[in-house]
Amino acid sequence: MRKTLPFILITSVSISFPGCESLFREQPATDPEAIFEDMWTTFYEEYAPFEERNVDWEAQYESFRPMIDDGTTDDELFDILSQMLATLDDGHVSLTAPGRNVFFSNRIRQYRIDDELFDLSVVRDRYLDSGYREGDQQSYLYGKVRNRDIGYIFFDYVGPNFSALNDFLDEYSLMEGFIIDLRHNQGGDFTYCFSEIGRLTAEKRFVFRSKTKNGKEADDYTDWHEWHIEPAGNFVDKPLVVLTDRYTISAGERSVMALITLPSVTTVGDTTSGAHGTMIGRELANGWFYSLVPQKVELFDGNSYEGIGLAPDIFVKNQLDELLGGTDRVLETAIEALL
Amino acid sequence: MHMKRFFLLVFLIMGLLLSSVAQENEKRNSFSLLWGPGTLARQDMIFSPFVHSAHSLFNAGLAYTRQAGMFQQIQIRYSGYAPMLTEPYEFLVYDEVKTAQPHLFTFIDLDYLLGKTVKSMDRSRVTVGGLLTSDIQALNYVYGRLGYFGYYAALGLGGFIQLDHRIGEKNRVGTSLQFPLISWSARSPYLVNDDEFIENIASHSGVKTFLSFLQDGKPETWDHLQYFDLRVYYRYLINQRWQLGVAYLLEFIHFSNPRNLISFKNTLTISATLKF
Repeated sequence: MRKTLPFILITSVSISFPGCESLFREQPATDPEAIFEDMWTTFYEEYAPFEERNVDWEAQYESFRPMIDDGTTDDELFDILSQMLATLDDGHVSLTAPGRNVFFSNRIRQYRIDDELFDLSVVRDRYLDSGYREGDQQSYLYGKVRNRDIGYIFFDYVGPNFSALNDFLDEYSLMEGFIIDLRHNQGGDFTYCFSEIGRLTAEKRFVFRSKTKNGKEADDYTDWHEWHIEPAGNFVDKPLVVLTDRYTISAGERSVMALITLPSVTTVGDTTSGAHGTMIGRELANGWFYSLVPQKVELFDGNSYEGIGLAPDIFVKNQLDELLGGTDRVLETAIEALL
Repeated sequence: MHMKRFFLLVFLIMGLLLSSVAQENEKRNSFSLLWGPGTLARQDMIFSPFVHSAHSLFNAGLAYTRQAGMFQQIQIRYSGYAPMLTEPYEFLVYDEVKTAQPHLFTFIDLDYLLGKTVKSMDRSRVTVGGLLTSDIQALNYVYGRLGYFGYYAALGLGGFIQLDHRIGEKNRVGTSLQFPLISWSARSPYLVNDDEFIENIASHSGVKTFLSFLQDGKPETWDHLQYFDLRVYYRYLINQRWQLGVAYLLEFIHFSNPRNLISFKNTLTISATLKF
């Protein structure tokens, strides 16, 4: 067929990559000014809780943009971008670059303020009976509090480790109360918590609602989406104390939100981080990474605690010297609250 | 409800086509193994404004072809790519050294072609027909210490045309174009994840999550989603049972909903075919 070969040749020749490249959208450039513009604009279009955190992002542009020119070094650029992100004081916002420590926008996380006021080994070695159980890499720890009919369970993050809750409730079904320790909880996927705490509620309970950016304009959001917890399995009707601290963050905080819908719950410890919206990652032309929050969250009471955190019913902080001596004052307060 | 109607329509069409094939008497079957290197250039604005380019040796496929009165082919292809804007590098989290790794994209394509040779001459033939295609992409985007899952899936109905030309007794060259016209498509939300996405993964089951993603899809036509596969091939007949081949495949995607996606995947495959 005379027409076949020319067709094959034409289609082959037409497949040329330089031509294909022109279909791509223009990419941000790699110079310092372009990198600043890219990051600032992405936050402007995609970051949700400016209002909750009382940050005027356009004012930040006016403050920081003049600091950058063609001659700005990587070190200077990292410092300037970090300073700009610091104005958000957001536990979900960070900046990653080669050979450097990750910069965390949240002051407490960046400077590790009071980070040393929680020590799981003190709980395990000083407060639990010897029959405790531990997950891989301490993803969870549970056991019976010494000399008390109280069950204790700790979760390091929110994920598949939450399935230990069911075993814990079965194993310590005769206890008079339970302590759920979410101090230093790193977050994760809150749906693991929501699906595992069904035994703790006798009725469906509204926890929070959220909406996510779905466009570049300030008012471009999805509809509000309501999240609930629902009864599942054998109902456990016992007093509960939930422990929190300044490092309880993200899905850890959403877990606290779910637990405080329960009438049997008392929270003890310190206020949580206040980073409630979902987090996404982004990359810059020079290979650096950063993260931001495209979501607003409102608790069941109709208020946003983004940037504020969830305050405990009983505020108490550990003292370093006491903790080093083996006393966890927060845990002891929780035990007293259950007696 | 729309999804159910869509699949009902798909299965109805497939049933009609298969029943017509069943009436064919002559059987000429072949089974092919395909493997080769490929390149990817992909810009997905949901995840990044940058074009992610990578090379990969992990492009493989299997194909079953039945050429009787009707032409039938089922082909499954797998490929994996690991693009990154820079080389992997080390960074620190509270002075603990970590490594920034590349993104990881996994592509699985499953195509079913059913057609008929509409023009056949001494050395050439033209085959046209219908196409049922599924293009599944699992996208693991890595941003230093953070990683996010994304997805793209398109189940399409369309057509194909294949031109095949014999050169001498043992050589064949040809080209084919596969072009879905309507698709059921599902893709990550505008900003990587939202409440609907989180609801979909809340089952914590891979299969249920995948089905939930699909269920959240919607019909798309060529105004939002354009994709096609263009193949150019050469085949050498060793004997009546065995055949070797080399083929160039361009897979193109342009999807504008909810954010722009442009993807070019170029693969050069060698194949070994057993005829039976």
